[in-house]
Amino acid sequence: MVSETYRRPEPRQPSRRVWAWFRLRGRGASGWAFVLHRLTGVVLVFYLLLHFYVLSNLARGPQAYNAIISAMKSPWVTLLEVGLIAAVLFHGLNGLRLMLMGLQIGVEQQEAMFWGALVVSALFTVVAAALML
Amino acid sequence: MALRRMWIWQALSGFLLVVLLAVHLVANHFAAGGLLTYQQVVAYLSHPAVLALEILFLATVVFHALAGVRALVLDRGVSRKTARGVTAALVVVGVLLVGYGLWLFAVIVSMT
Ligand code: HEM
Repeated sequence: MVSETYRRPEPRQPSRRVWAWFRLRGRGASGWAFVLHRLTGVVLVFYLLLHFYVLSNLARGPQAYNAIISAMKSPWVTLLEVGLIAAVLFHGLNGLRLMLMGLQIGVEQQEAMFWGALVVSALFTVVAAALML
Repeated sequence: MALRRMWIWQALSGFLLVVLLAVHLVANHFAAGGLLTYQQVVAYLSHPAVLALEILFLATVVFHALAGVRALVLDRGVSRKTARGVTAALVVVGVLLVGYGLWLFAVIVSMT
């Protein structure tokens, strides 16, 4: 039954304690999906702000921009970028899954779609890492 | 209720982001050579279609990110008054971020 498998507001239950969002015990696949979606969402917001900061160097002229770009050539930054790719891929693919669920499409397959999102993002991340590292 | 209504927009902007983010990433990293120098950025944004897409991307990603942050905050079950304050604050942040981005585009485009 659709209504039993999927109750849309499940992820957004009020909780005073932020850590309660990330508690994994006793969650099913959709709970893991929720935790990962939220975590990657927060990571991406921080990245967006960082991206603004890096690009703000464009306003300071060619030297400033070229300098910050070469400063980011470090392998540690590349490693973080691989993590960023993983976060974007999972968040995007799982976001599509959440949309389908919101439209009541494939609700019965939501668990399979979660694993699909996870596997596909892992595969593409490995490919990207192989190209970058 | 406000959260529910907003979720539609979160999902729609997310959907738009799949396309815009793909274009943004492919255009930046493959078509434009990674935008690793200032000159590359200037050349990249000199194409009107690229500029238009990047502006749309800027607005969409800022909206989606801040709507997401709003959802996180309201999810904690704050009072109506606090919720309204949070929304107003995030609107200001959003306008500032998009405004800054547009200004930055203008700076780069004026270099051509
Ligand atoms: C790649 C395309 C993307 C898609 C398809 C997508 C999709 C979604 C969807 C559907 C939601 C609502 C989740 C829910 O049911 O509560 C969501 C939440 C969120 N997204 Fe995205 N998103 C994308 C990219 C991004 C980016 C680039 C950022 C950050 C800059 C971001 C940040 C967030 C945040 C912070 C949330 C709130 C998390 C939560 O409520 O638990 N998303 N996204």
